[in-house]
Amino acid sequence: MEIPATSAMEPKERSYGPGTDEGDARSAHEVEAAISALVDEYAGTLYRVAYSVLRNTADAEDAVQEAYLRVLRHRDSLDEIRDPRVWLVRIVWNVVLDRKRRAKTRPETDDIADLARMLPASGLTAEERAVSAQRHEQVLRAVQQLPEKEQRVLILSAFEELSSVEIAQVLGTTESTVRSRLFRARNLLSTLLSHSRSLR
Amino acid sequence: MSEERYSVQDGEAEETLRLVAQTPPPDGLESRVHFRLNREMRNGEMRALPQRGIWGLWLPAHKLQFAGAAVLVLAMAASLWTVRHPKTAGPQAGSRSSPVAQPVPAPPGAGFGTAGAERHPASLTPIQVPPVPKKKPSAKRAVKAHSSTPTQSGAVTSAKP
Repeated sequence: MEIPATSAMEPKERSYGPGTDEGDARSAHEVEAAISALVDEYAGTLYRVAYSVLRNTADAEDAVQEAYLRVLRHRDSLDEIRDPRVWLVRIVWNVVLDRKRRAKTRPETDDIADLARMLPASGLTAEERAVSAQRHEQVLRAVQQLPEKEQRVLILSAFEELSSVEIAQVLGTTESTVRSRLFRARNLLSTLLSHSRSLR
Repeated sequence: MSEERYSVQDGEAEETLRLVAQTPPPDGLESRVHFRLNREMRNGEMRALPQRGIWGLWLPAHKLQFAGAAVLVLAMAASLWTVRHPKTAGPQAGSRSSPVAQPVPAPPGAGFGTAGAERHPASLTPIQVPPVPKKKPSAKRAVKAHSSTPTQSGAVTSAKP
């Protein structure tokens, strides 16, 4: 468990009592510094999590900002957070799912094609890049067809910094459930990709 | 360049997802988040001020505010009821009317009296009204009194040439 060295993460006994003005001002300043440290350390990770689901730069950044605003609203309970990284990923994950639910009517076909073209393909010729982008697009469309739960586990498993235990914490389930969903997702994905290849 | 080189292999799909997950964040993301948070904190402080300042001083608790609003509504309802249903004038049949309060004369000395007491200023001398004669004066007496009045007082009442 990695905990940033911020004063807000220290035990409560060290903080000033809530009754004095000096204590309030001091603790408010400490909380502000703690949130600032969380932004510096995890904003990039949160952005990548948001982008992997939303696939839009502006939407992902908005989601990150909203996640930190939620942190700001819960600043009084920052002391109780054991693993801020997983906690933050879980917050931004919920923000992203809320946004995705609200924007369900928007067609995602163009987003997938754009994203597949934007993925890095260094060291390839133009023709290879085109083929690579086509393959990426195929994979992303297949992922889109997966059941929601399997899809979520698969997306989060692509983040190297998240273990299966942490993915379980983010999704609010057990590690064994995550493993079984991941296994099912890989099998389904393989079937879908084989099917699409046979059609071509 | 053949398609077999980029064909579906084990882990290829996950490689695509990994590439998506490694998308670098835009430049200045942290500073924009900092700016937004600072603005929100300032706005939060400004929003919290009038709530505590005015309403908190007037009625400290929300329950009291609701109670105050309820009292106002009841008062308005009562006033509307009295306007729409005025009381009938005069005592109704079978009702007992209270005696009309008469003013009580104030005590002669200074001091407190009852609210309905009649008061006269001490400097005001009462007007003495002569008592009305009980008998009607006869004509003979009246003539005598008329003729004797100037001589008794010594004043000339009638101007005779």
